[in-house]
Amino acid sequence: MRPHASPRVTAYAALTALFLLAALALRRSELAVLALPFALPLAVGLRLSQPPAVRAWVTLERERALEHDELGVEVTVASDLPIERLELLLVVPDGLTVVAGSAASSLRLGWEDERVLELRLRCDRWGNFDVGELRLRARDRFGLVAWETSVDRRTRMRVYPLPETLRRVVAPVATQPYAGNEVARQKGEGLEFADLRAFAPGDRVRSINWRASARRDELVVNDRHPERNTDVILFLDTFADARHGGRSTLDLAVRATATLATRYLERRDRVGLVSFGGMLRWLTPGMGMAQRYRVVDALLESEIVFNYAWKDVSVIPARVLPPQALVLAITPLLDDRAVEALVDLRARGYDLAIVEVSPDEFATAGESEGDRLAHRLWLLRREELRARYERLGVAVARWSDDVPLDGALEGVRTYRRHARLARG
Amino acid sequence: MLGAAGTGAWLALSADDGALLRANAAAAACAAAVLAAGLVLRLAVAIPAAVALLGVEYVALLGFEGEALDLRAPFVAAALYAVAELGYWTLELRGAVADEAGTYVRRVALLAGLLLATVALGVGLLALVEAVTARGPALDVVGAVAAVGTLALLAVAARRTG
Repeated sequence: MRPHASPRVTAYAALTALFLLAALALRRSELAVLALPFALPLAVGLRLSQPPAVRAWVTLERERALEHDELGVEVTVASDLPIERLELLLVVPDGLTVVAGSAASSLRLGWEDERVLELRLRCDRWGNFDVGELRLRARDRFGLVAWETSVDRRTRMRVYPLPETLRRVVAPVATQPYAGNEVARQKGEGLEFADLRAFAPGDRVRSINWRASARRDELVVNDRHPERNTDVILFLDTFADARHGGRSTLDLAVRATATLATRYLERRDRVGLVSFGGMLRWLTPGMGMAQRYRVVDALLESEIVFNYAWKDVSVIPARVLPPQALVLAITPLLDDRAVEALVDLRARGYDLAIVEVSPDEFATAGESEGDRLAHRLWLLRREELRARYERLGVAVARWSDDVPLDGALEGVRTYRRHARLARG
Repeated sequence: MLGAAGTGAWLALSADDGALLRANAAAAACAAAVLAAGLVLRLAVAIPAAVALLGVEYVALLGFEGEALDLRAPFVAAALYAVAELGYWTLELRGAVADEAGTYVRRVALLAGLLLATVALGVGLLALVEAVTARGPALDVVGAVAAVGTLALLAVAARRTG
């Protein structure tokens, strides 16, 4: 621990010197008495002070939590020597709030003493947080010397985004060869009835429709739609976000992406992730619980990294965007690079749908007429952007915090259902 | 701050001379203002400045009251020390550190003990001064050496602490 003399040392030494010199100069012994209370604690305190040896560690109740969860933290300090006043500060990262106890507190330690401080933290925001950086300051009895040190006992805590309510997801147009929950358009072995056709050598006897065969006087078999899985690529736009207070479009986008990933993976679909922004991150499509944790852990690393370099979809590795995958973009549509990348994906034939995390509520019109006009123009430009996507056959769902994600996606499902009919 | 104002008022009202009373009252007000500004602006240097101003007030009082030994000195010393300690304590309390129960009681007890020790040692020192009848340059030299030695010891101790 590094010692620091408190301001008292200088001040008391100066006052002692002042009063002693005055006593000598004015030949008044009373002034030497004035120096006494300042000289005495200095002499005794500095002589008796000895560097403390403090041991400290931090224990988290658990290392995984959900947004708005509360969890306990125990800070334990121990010392063999007595410490008159030990101040300790637990550095609490942004996104966590102390709701019980105090992050900065002081206590007194006796001989071979150990004390435990209990705190409760509330997770305000998703993310990875390193909890456990402690700053310690031990003071002597007279407050003359302070020993300071920093103890790094950091433990990575993962706070997962709160899931949104979502009963149905957007069904992709094309399915993949593996078994899943999506009824394929193709005919084959499955549960859903598709059509009747004449018996062909190799057909299983159990697929013969005996009633239809009796009516037609020939063997007729049922054709069925197989249940297949799909490839879904969640395309998270991290070029820019809109913020107000403690909320941002990125927070909402990550929450929506985590929810969508969970729901698709529950259907046994393959889910991949592309975090497209100042820093490009991706996860190749995969299935199962392990992929779910991979996606969510990757989402926790999401951040807005400012970068002026132009990027298009050609920078995304081909294996991350398998053919016939549904690309579900979660974006505030604020950055032209993301806007153009989505247009590019559509032009390359990807099945694309957009969940627009609405930045409208984060940008309110200003006071002046000019500000209000600018705000209206901005809103009109966004309307025009949505219309542009719809002309390309891309459904855009506007979603904000006060609307259930399910409701926003219903618009996409309806649009795609009608678009499919129109194409047919 | 109340302590500074009270000590200053006590020293001012102790003056018999009208001009001295006014001067000491002004010095007391000045000390209280300096201390208040220091506490508000979190400037620790204001505390010894205020104590020094109160000390100047006492020096002025001694200068007007003749050669007799002033028996108030131990109490003035205790009051000045209390002003300084309470000032530093106020600055520390403005931090966001939550103190555990019993901290204030221990600190008040320590302060009270130091004040009592100050008064006792001060009275003892004055009694010693009263008892010693010798006068002359040799005694002055001894006093000067003692003062310089005290300061040197404090400087060495402070340097060793870092």
